[in-house]
Amino acid sequence: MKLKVENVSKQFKDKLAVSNVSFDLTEGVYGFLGANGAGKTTLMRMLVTLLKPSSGRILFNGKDIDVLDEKYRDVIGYLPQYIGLYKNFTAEKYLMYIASLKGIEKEKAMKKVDELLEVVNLSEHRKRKVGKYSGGMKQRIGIAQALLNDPKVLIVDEPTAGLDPKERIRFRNLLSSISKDRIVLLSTHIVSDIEFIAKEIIVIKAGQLIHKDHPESLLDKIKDKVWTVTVDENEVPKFQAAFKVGNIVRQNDGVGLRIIAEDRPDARAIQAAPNLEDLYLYYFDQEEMIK
Amino acid sequence: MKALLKFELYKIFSQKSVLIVFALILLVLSTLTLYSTFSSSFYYGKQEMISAYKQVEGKLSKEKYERQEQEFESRTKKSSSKEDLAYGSALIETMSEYEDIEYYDNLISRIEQDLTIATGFNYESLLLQKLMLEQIDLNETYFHKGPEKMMDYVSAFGYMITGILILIGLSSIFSNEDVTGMDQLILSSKNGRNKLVSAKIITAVFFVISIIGVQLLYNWGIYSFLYGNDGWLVPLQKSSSFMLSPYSLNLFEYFSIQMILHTLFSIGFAIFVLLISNLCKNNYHSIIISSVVFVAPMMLSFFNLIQMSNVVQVAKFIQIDTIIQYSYTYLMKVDVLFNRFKVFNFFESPVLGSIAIPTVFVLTTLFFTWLLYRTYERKEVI
Ligand SMILES: Nc1ncnc2c1ncn2[C@@H]1O[C@H](COP(=O)(O)OP(=O)(O)O)[C@@H](O)[C@H]1O
Ligand SMILES: [Mg+2]
Repeated sequence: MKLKVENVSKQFKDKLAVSNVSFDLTEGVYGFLGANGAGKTTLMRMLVTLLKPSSGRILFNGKDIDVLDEKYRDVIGYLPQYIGLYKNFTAEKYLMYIASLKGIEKEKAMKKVDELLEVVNLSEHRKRKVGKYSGGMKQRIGIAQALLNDPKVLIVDEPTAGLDPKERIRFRNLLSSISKDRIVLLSTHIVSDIEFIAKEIIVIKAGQLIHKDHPESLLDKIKDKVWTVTVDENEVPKFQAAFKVGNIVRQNDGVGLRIIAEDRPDARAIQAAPNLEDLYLYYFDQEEMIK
Repeated sequence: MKALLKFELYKIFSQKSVLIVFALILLVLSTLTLYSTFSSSFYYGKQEMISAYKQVEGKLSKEKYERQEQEFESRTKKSSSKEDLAYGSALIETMSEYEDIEYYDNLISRIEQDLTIATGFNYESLLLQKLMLEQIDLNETYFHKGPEKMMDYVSAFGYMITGILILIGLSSIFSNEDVTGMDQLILSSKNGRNKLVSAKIITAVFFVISIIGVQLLYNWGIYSFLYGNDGWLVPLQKSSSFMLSPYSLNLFEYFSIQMILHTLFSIGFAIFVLLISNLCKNNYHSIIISSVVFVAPMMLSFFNLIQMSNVVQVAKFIQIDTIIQYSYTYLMKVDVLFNRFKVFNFFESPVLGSIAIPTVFVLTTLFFTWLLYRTYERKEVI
């Protein structure tokens, strides 16, 4: 199974949101990393046929998804960044409606709805109107609807936004448990979401693909650029002005800073093993970073 | 597809606003109809009217009327009961029917004269008109107030009620998916494009048929209560709004054709509303644009009626009358197709308006349907 993005661009009126992006996806989880406005949603919408590329094409197993049409939409599952709901539908009815859109026959749909409500832990709220759901519950029902048709290609746009830490962990485990035999593409600007489950990480900045690699290889690229240093509290602003500063921790003997820099930022600094957060910081500006 | 259709039906029919508006309209209309009928000095009671007519019904003849009139006048000199009043008005009405016969006879002989000098298309259409008029037989009279009122319902109220309910019920059918964000899930799902459009169109057709069906029952109920159900076989021309009609139809035939065409035009309007809804991202835009299309012809003809001079001049300039005639609003009344002789020149042969206009309408609606599929198929979530 292969999903191939080939020289894809998307131009909105006066904005080039995605610029000549190419990559291939096969079975496994892919982390799609980029700051707000980088073009993640736009690219994902093209992958689920909600937008047509201005140029380039997207191939599923060698065939243009525009030509495959229904056949392609039959194998995808999509969770949008902001999920759509009918407020006065109960969870059950909502899922049955999506199932009818996906062309799943009634008996099978009912079984699948039961099963997925269980998976996302909403069984006891199945008769409640989704308009009354909390943010986290909406996100969970969103995940359930994406999985109704056992999609071969699962595309989830910032699925963990609005989830509390416990729910995030649950979600991460769920994704990695279903990722076998599927292509899963998950966008986020939260590094820890994908740190341990992504087979590859795709980094996108201002509509352009800058890296696509295994997490280890990506980390390898910045292995001598991460430093830690313990400084006096009043030195902190100076460092923040001069370098990309990540974690700041108060310690007994001062303040510990994690710094991304090409060269040793200070005589006291020592090299540290890079993690994805450092990677993110390396590519994106600090204010965009959310831990 | 069946499940999808069921959900679309549910989404449309569970809109409480539509049910409430529908119920309110019918309630207000009933109150007004009943009040104005019972307070009218021309309503003598259903039974009274039917039995009064019984005395004048049958073959029309001048002598018979003169005799009846004299007898009536001498009788009512002393007193006039409700029955007498009903009888008097039945007499007057039948006498005017007698004048109608003269009108038709005159018309036919005038056409015969014109035929001697006419050529080509003109000749063909006069000939057609003559042949049609000769089919009409107005020589008998029967009480037909009930069917007549039921027929008038569509062109007086029905078209507007159907139109308003279509606007309220269907104008957000597509735009609401954008508003709720459901479009993202719908358009990326297997059946969310072509099949969904089909489901929505079927839903719209079902909706239109239901609201027309309910009105049909209502219409039949209230007017058979007030005037009874007799007279369906009377010629169309006996109804005052069709005095000049060249069509040889009885009231039942016309009523059936009217209901079918009203349904057809209403479905056409519904498809138009769907198309607009699909092009709008916002429920308000959708309902406003469709409402303007529906209401503008009424406004324009109102201005025309009250002779607002500058409006009239502009209206003349852009041939507003023609546009109004072929608007959804006026076509949904149906009567305009049948109340006078109208032909179109189709390669030098005359085609009746009642055939040509619905045909063109169907073709236009098919085009809009195609456009709806086409635009929805390529719709992007922006
Ligand atoms: N419909 C649109 N019209 C114009 N510009 C858009 C539209 N959608 C997105 N953009 C722009 O395209 C860029 C990418 O947006 P998006 O794909 O939503 O980024 P992300 O999901 O990574 O935050 C942004 O600059 C955004 O403002
Ligand atoms: Mg986004």
